[in-house]
Amino acid sequence: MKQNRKIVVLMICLGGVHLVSLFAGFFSPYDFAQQDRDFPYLSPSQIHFRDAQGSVRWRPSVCLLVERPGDSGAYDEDKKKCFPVRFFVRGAEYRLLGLFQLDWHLFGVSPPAKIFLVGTDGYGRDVFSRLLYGSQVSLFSGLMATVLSLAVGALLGMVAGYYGGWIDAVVMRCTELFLALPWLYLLFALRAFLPLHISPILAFLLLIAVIGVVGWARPGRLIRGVVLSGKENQYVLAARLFGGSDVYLMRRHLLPQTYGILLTQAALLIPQYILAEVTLSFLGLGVGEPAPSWGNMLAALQQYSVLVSYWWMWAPGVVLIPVFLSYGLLASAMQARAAGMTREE
Amino acid sequence: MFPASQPLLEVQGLCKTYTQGRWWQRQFQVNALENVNLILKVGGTLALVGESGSGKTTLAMCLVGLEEPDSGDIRFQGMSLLDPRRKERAAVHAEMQLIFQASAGALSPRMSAAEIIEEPLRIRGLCGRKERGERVLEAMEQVGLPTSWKNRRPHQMSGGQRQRLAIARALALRPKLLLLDEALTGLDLSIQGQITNLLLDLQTRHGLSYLYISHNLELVAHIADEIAVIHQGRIVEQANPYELFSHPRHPRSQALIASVTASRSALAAHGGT
Amino acid sequence: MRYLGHRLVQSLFLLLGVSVLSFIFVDLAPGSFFDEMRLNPQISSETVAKLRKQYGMDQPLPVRYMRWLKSTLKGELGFSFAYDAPVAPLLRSRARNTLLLTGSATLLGWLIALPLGILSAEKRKGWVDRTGTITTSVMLATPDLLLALGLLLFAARTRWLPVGGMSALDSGGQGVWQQTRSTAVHLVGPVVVLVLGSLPILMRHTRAAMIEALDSPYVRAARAHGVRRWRILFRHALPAAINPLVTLFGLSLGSLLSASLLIEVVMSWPGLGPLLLEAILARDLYVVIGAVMFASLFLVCGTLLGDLLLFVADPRIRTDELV
Repeated sequence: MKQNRKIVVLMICLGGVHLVSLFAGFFSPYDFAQQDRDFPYLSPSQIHFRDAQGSVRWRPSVCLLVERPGDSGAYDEDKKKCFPVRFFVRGAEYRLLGLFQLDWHLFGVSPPAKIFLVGTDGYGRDVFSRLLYGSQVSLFSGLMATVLSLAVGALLGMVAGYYGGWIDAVVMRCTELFLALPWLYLLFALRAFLPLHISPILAFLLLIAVIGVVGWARPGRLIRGVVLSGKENQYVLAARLFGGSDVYLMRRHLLPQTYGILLTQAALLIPQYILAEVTLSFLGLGVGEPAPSWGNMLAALQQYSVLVSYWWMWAPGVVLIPVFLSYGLLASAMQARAAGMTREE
Repeated sequence: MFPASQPLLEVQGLCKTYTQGRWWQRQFQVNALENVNLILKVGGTLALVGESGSGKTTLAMCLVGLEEPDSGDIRFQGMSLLDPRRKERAAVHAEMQLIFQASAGALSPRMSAAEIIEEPLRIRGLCGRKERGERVLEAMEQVGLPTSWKNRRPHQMSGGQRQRLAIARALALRPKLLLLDEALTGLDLSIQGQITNLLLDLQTRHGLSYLYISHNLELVAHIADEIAVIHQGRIVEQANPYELFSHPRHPRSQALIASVTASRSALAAHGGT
Repeated sequence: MRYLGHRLVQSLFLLLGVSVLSFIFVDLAPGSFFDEMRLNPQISSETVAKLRKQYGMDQPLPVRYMRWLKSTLKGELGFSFAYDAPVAPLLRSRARNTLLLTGSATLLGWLIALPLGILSAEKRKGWVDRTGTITTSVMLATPDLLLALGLLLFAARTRWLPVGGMSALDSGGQGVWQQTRSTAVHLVGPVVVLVLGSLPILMRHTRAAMIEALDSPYVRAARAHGVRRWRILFRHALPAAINPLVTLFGLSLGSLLSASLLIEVVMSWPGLGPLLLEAILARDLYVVIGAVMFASLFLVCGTLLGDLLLFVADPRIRTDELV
């Protein structure tokens, strides 16, 4: 089916993006906190494919920058001093997945040259490296918050749908309550009641917890609906007659019925949650310095000069568009597939 | 040893009422079952016939333990099923299995035939993996399904084959009593015949007893030793097929028989059987 | 009628629930709230004492909740430290600004989305539909944040629009007409961003609802009878599609206070958004609670209004009642 192919392709693309994100240390030439106070707000490095004599070389090279005399803040290339871009270089140490200590990088240049693929920010930090490290925060906080929301929603929804009665009534009233509160406001309010200045790691975990918990209501209701009708199936009844316990029935027979909804909800929620993290970090309520997040990197654009003059600082925002587009197409494809399947029944 | 002279299943004075209506509305009572008495002997087949809403499904639910009757008793092999001790009840209920009408939801679409048949064994933790596999193949042979099909899904089978699968599953726990709730309804006539023969065959081989529930008198007339007619929660007549057909006493039974003969003569008029 | 009564009661319970949640938050906030107030030199000790008495800080929880609920119902929502003023009037004036913004944006959004959605549904696979679907997908994938920043850049570069704010800095002493004009000009940027943000969703829903209505056997019969195009669209298909649209409209109404949070902050529009943010950063908790409650109130009322409109618009719900 055409939808299946779309879904597979999109999932591979997104999987690739997340994989690159996990290996941010490898793909980025510099550490995210490495500052170079001499070169703030540098535009992206020019990559040359010709050497000093003008002939074409397959290996790209970057030239050293010197300050323009009399015009501090402006830089020119010293074409006589060019350094080749080498691949698989050893550079700054980093931890892969927090476990392994490595120092291999995909590409780099020998000092004193620097390669800034997307320029530098106000502290002279490489935006490209920060983009990659920042993706870990933004992409994975969205992902993990979604897992949390779906877990809580599935648990409560299943229990409510299965047992019915007062449990169901209580859970439904709770979902109505949560759905009655404007989501972003609730998020902000919750954040407000927690300490403002916390370490980036704690902020990361806190964000996941807050975003995830606030959003359990909608998936919870959907799961409850599936379970309500699903438990009427005779094979569930039969399993009960064989002596299956409630937990067994829920795990073996009802949970598989929810997989479709869970996946579709995931595709819908992940981009929303990524955006929530970006928004909160942008406003200073999320992950803070020096840890990069696409949100707090975008915060620099609130300064007029940055907004108008330094176009590469828009990178963290622009990068969001293809990510959201992929998730959006994935969600549509999943919904279309589900609709097609119910039509066949 | 269980004496063959004692009835396998005895239902005495079973009553069940449902109340309809929310807590702030006036409530009405529905008498689903009223003073129902039934006896099923070992190796026999009892048919319970009635129109929809007559209470036959409620009775089936009470028998397997999904519903609690308000009063009365159900005795299986002499032991009361309404005994509050859960473990004993569970063990007893294993001896009674239920087969439903072949519908889309009767078998899990996500499980293979082998998984469906071994599910009861898995739940009860009765045998190891190897023995489970052997029992599955044995069951499939008994119901006439090719063992090569053990990885097939229900939707890849026909209605009759699915019903055989359901029977195989029901036999997994080696029950003594099979409750068949409209198990032949909805199948083609020829398939009905095949399944009926299978059931009779299994009955002789394993000494099974059947309680067959249906709305169709003709279906059960061939296989039942006794027919009980149920109407509005009451057993209005109980007799063997010959007696029932020749001298029906209750108007309900007469109506049911009339519809059978009507369809029979309609078929004969069209020159078929 | 019974349905409406049920919904009304449900909404009241919801609001009560929201108030309980909010109150628990206020109560659970780390560190005694009033201790912080006492440390703050800006607040006089008399104010602290008065507030303590008013909120019955020495009483058990349920009593405190009842007192808080009573003051809230009277319209007193607490005291803001950052602004050194009671919360309610502050919220009201900011809410007015927000409503001006979101009201215009919602109106404009629906005015554009409805015809485009209808056209898109009618001529499926036509050029309007195809370009519409692609643009919608891309616009949906573009965060409002980027749109807002983009508009600010546009304003800065072209100078056609003011770069944020609600009125020119020197508009204080001018006449009403000048002020209105200034406000209107400042309104353009944020409204454009809000409309661009909400348009894709509205269009998609309109299109989906219209497609379902146009595919229904009842419309097909009308077409087979030779009823003309416009009549079919407006007298047959649109009323059938109204159901999901009215519910969506209720949601639009409900989110009038909350939808523009981020955009107000980025574009310096003095509405509830920036107030909430400042309050969070300044730990001005009563403002936060007040703003959340106010926004929730709107959302609950909005959905209630949506259900009401649905009741009026859809005869089927009314007849279900009679059964």
